Amino acid sequence: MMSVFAYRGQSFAIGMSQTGSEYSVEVEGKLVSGRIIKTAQNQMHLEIKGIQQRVIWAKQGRKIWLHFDGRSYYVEKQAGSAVAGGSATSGERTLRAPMPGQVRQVLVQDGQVITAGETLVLLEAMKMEIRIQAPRQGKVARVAVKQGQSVEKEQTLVELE
Amino acid sequence: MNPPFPSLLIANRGEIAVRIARACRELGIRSIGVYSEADAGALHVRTADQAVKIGPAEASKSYLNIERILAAAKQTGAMAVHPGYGFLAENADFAEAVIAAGLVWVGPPPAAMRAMGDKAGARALMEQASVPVVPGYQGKDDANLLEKAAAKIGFPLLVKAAGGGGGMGQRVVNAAGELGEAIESARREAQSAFGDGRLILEKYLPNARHIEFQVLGDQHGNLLHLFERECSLQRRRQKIVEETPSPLLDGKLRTEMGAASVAAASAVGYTNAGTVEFLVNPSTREFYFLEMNTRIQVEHPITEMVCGIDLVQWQLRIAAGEKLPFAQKDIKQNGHAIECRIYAEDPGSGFLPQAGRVLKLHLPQGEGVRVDAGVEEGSEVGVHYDPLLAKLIVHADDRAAALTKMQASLRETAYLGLTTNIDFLQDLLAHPRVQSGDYDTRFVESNMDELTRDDELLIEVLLAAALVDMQPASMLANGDGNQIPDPHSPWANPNNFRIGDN
Repeated sequence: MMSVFAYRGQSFAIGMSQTGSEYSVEVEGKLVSGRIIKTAQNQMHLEIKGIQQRVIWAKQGRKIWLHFDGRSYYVEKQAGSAVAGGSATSGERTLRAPMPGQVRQVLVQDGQVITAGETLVLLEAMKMEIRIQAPRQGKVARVAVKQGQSVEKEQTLVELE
Repeated sequence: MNPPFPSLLIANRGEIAVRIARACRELGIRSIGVYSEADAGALHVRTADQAVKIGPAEASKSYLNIERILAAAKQTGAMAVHPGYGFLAENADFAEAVIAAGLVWVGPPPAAMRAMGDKAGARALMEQASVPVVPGYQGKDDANLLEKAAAKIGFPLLVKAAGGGGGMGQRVVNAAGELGEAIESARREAQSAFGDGRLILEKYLPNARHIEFQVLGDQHGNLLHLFERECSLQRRRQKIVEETPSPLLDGKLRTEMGAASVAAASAVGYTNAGTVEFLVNPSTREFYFLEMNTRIQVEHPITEMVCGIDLVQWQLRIAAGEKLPFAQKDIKQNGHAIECRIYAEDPGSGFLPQAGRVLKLHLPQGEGVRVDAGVEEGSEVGVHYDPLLAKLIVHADDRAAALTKMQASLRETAYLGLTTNIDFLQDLLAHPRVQSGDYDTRFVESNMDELTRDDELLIEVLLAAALVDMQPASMLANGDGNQIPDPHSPWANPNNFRIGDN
């Protein structure tokens, strides 16, 4: 699942994937994984690399405030960035571009069997690489773009069966 | 102990109104709050035993409206009035109106307020009382005479409004050529801010420290001081962090300044709580009277923690005619206290005040940690008033321990839903010059770039943000994590258990 979060005027495109209870995000080539150990009202304990970290949070629409390791952060989820339209298990079939950009690489073909979290298409936008990843395991029905092609925001990239 | 009086009206809002209501509760006094339309749901309204709506959001029609406040006192049978700080706290007309209405005024005599409110007059009075004042001129306000006086004082100098404080009508003049223009613009500003265009001149001390002394006097001739507060960490003459004892003072200077503060207050027949502000030249260790604030001060809690004396309770007891049961020799400084002012403002964009709702509040706890808060979780912070959210105060055995405790406490403080200065305060306290105690009133502004660098967004924070984004809506409304809508959601992990559920 792709999302874009804005922080202090900068955009961060993140790809999220799940393996069991472990969630991973990939941002600009960096990867981090963690899982939620405990939750309380507006709090969660996140275990990252064997270390538990308390996160206090608040959410209002697309606005998210986080208190993490003694500092507060405010991020805003960008409109239309929920590529696969919500939860990774919602059975979405269409993967769309989270923002205008250029297709740098197409990594799958029509009919190919894919696993959850596998990168299907690499986009380049705002000098960032955005990985469009499989929200679930399945099969590619159709790749809708070619390498080097320019895409608009929300343009269909890959359709799954 | 019988309460000093049965009921008291608090003519203020925010954290100081909450603080005064607490003192009332501790003394068995019925507290009566007042509020504007914008504050109907505010914490200070709920903290008081009763509260009266006094007008619309604009302060001039509510918290500054003497008539409405006195009517509220009459309506509720209040016997006394505490003005807090700001708003009408230093308005001698208000004090007189309270007294004329047959109510107890919790503050100094109106005549003392007037004497100290006039900067030119106060300077002259202090000179008579042998309290050192900043070299300057407070004589006849005539362009020619000001020019001559300026040449004698030397540059840089300050042009200041005689009729008010807070930096309004104030200009730094670096050379004789800038004087005429500075006088004109300061006069315009002073006229519009205070309705009084008179000006005075003072030598400008760029590396000075701002150190103030708390005084307390009863109506039986007892007047003493409760030592100093170091307030040099400021931005645009607005204090940000205060500590006591001051890292600069030694026993000798402390004794001299303490005596000068009592002499200053005594010169105007002062009673109740007040603060004498001084500028100190750290290289020559000379000190100068700056002004006296004739009210309780925002930063009063650090004095309370170090001296073990509840200043607001004593304000009430003194106003009721009680005698101070302790003398100067009984007042001791015990350990070290620091206060940080937490504001809804954005250090990343010029400290613009921020409005919004406190969606989630997390506060530090522990021995020697005090939070004087004006808002709570769910509070709406508006644009009508000062954006002070709370004061975080810590007390420890020594300065190093207090700094460590404050830094740890700031890390535990979160007002989510608003942008605040909390991370800025952390960076400020971590600065080597604050750690060493070697700072002056210009420190914050001259190190602003370094102090307002944005945090880099950690990838771990993005992971947390993405997980929060996946949070089912049903959990947001009531925080109930027990529903199991989606077995693959990170929030529905079967191994999950809620903190506090066991």
